[in-house]
Amino acid sequence: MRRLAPFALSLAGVLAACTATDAPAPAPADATAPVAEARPSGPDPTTPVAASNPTATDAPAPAPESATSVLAHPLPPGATLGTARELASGRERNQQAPAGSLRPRAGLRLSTVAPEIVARGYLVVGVDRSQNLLSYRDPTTGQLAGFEIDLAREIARDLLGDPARVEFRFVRGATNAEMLARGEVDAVIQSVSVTAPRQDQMSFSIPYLESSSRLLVAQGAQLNDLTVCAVRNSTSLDILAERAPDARVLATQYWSDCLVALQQRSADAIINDDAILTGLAAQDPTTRFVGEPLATHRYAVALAHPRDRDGAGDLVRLVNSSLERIRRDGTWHRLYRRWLADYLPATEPPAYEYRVKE
Amino acid sequence: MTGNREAASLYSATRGTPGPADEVGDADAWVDRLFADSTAQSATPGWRERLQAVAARPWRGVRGLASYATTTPGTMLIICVISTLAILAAGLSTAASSRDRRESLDQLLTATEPTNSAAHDLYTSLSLADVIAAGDVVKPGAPAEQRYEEAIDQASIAALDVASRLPADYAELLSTVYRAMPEYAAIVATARANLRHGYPVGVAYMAQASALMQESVLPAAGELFNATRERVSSEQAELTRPQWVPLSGLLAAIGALALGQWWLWRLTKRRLNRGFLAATALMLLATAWVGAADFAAWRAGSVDYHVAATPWETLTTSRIVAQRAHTDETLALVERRSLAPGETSATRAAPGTGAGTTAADESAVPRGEDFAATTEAVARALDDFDRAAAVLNVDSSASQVARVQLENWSQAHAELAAALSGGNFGYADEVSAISEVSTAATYTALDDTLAELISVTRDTMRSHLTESLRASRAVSLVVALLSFLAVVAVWLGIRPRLQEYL
Repeated sequence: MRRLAPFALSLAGVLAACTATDAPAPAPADATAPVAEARPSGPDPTTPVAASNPTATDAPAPAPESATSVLAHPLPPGATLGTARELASGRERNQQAPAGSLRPRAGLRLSTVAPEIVARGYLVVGVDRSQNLLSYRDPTTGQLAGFEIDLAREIARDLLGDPARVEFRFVRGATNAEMLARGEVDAVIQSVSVTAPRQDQMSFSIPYLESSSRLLVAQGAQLNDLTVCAVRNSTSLDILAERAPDARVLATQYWSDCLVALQQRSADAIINDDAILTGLAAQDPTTRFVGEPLATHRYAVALAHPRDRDGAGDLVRLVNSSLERIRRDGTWHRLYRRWLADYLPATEPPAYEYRVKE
Repeated sequence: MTGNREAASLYSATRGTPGPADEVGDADAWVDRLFADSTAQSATPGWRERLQAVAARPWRGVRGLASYATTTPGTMLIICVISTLAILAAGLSTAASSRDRRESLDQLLTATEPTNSAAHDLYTSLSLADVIAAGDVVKPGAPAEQRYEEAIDQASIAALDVASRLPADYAELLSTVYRAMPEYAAIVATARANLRHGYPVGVAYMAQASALMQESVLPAAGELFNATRERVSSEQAELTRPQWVPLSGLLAAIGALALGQWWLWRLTKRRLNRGFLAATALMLLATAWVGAADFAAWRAGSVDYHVAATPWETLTTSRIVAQRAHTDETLALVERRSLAPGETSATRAAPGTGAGTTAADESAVPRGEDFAATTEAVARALDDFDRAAAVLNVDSSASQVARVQLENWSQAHAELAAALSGGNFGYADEVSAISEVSTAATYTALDDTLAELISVTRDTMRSHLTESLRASRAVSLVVALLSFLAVVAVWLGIRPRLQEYL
C-alpha cells in the first residue's frame, strides 16, 4: 500500500507557492546538446529508464538559440506551456452537485433499447490509450488490460451475454462528448468524473470509482517553483486554475504524456486524481505524492445524451443494473483487488443515488 | 646673295686653316668644310629643338608603319596578324570552355547527383524507421529491433553522405535532421525500455518520437531532397546544352580567314593560298569536332537522360507517398481510428495546440488520405518506368513484380480499413502486422521492389551522364592543337607571298 508522503505542506499551500515566484526553471537550459541518459536497470526490475533532457521551461523567456528551438526539447506532441488561467477551460467550476443517475427498470432488453448494438454483435467502448492500471495495452501481451477494461467486459457480459463481445476504441477527454453523440462509441469508460456541466452533454451511469485530487511530484523538484502538468480541458486543470491561476502549466493530450514530461524535466508535477496518479507513480518510483487530497471525484460510465441518441436513457438504466450486479456479487472487489489494491487503500464502491424525478 | 657673301667670308676664313683635304690639294675640298661647319654650328641645339625631336619619334614611327602598311607586304602581314588573333581567340576560348564544362559535368557526376540520391535514401530510411518503431507498439513481445536498427543505420550513412558534399545553403536543413536523429533514437530506446518493463508510458514516448520525426525531421529531409534534385536537373540542363557562343567564335575565325583569302586574291591576283586553305580546313575540322562532340553530349546528357530521369522522379515521389500512406495505416491502428478520409489523428488534431503542431502540416502524415491516389501515383510511376525501359532497352520484369505487389498491398489495406471502421481491432491487428499478407509484409515487398527500380533508373541516368562526359573527352585538347596548327599554316602560307616582296 502506498504511503502518503510525510510532508506538512498542504496541497493548497503548495499550489499557492507556485504562483509566488516567477523565477526561471530549476533545470538549466542546455538547448544545444540534448543528451539521453539511460539509468542502469540494475537488480530492481521496476526501475524505469528515462531520457533526461534539461530544457528551458520558462515560457516567457525565448529559447537560447532560434536554430535549436525545434530540438531544444520536444514537448509531448500537442502540448503547450502557459499559465493555469489561460490553459484552463475557463468554465466556472460548477459547485452545483451533479444529478443522480437513472434508476434501472425491470424488463428492459438491449434488443429493444439499442438494436444496432445487438445487430453489430459487440459493444464499442471508448477507453484511454495508456492509463496504467486502468486501461492500457499490456506491452508484453499486446492486449488491452486494466480495471476499466475488465469493467467494460463485465458490462458486456450482462448486456450481450459474453465478456468478449466488446471492442475498444481510444478516446481523449476533449472529444468524448462528440464521439458519443456521433455514435462512434456506445459508452466511454475513461476516468470521466461526473460534473453538472458534463451532464448537459452526456449521460452518466452510477459511479464505479471514487478518487481525489493529488499532486505527484518529480524527484528533486523545487516545491516553491513547480511546472504542473495536466491534460487540457480536464477537471484537474480547472481545480488548479481556481487555486493557483498564475501557476505555470504544461497542458498535454494524455496523462501518460505528463509522465513523459516529468521524466524529461519539462514539468515538475502532475495534478490529477490518485487513481490515475497511482498508475503513473507505479511506473516511476522516484516520484512522490505531496500534500493532502483536495477535491473528490467520482468516475462513471459516460453514455450519449438522450437528445443525441434514441434510447440513451434506457441504455443508462441497463448499464446501471449491470453495475449494481457487479457491486452485489463481489466482482467489483475482485477487480479492485486485482488492479488497485496494491496502491490505494482498501475501500468500498462509491456511494450513488438515483434521480427522484426522471 | 647672302649665301655668296657667306661663302666668300668662309672662303677667306678657310683660306687660312688647313683642312684634311688640303693636303691632297683637292680644289673642291672647301665644300666639305662648308658643310662640316654648318653641322658643327647646330651641334648644340636648344631645349625646344630637343623636345621636338623626342616627341616626334613615335609619330614618325607610326607614320612609318602607316606608310609601310599601305605597302603590299605590310597589308599581307596585317591580314596574317588579324587571322592569327581570330584563330587563337576562338580556338583557345573554345578549348577553355570545353574543359570547364567537362569539369563541371564531372562534378555533377561525382558530387551533386550522389548527394541527391543520398538525400532520397535519408528520407526513406528515416520514414521507414519511424513506421517500424511505431508499429512495434501494437505487436506483443520483442520489437523488431533488427529492422529498426538497420533503417536508422542506413539513415546515418545517408546523412553523412549528404553532409560530405552538401553546399552551404542547405547546411541548416541538414543540421535539423542530423541533430534530431540521436534524440529520436534516444526517445525510441526509452520507449522500448519502458515497454519491455511492461510500462505503458512507453507508448507515450513512442508517440513523442513519432511526432518529432513526422513534424520536424521528415519535412526538413524532404525539402533537402527537393532542393538537391532541382540543383541536379538545372546543372544537367546547363552543362549539356550545345556551346553556341564558342561555336560562333570559331565560325567567325573561319570567316576572317575567308576574308583574308579574298584580300590576298585582290592583292596578289592569285585565287587561293595554300596556307590559308590549310588553315581554313583545320578550323573547319575543329568546328565540326566541337559541333559533333556537343551534339553527342547533348544527345546523351539531355535527351537520353530525360528519358531515364522522368521515371526516376516519379518513382522517388511515389515511393515517398506510399511510405506516408503506410505510416498512416500503422498509426491508425496504434491509435485505433478509422482510415476514412478526413479522420483526424489524435496526436495532431488537438485544438489550440499552437506550439504543438508546427507549420509543416502539409508534410505531416496524411490523415486518412485517399489511398486510391497513392496507388494511382505508384501505378503511373511504374508506367513511366516501362516506357523508359522500352526506349532504353532496360529489363522491365521488376516492374511487373511491383504491380502484383501493389495489388496485394491494396487488398490488405482494404481489409485493414474495413476492420478499423468496424471497430474490429483484434482482426485489424492481425491484418496489419501478423498475417502473411498483412499490410506490413506486402508494403515492405513493394517498397523493396520500388527501391530496386529506383536504383536501376538512377544507374541509367548516371550512365548517360558519363557518356556525355566521354563524348567531350578530347575536344579541348584537339581544338587547341588545331588552332595552333592553323596559325602555323597561315604564316607558312603567307611566306612565299612575302618573299616576293623582300
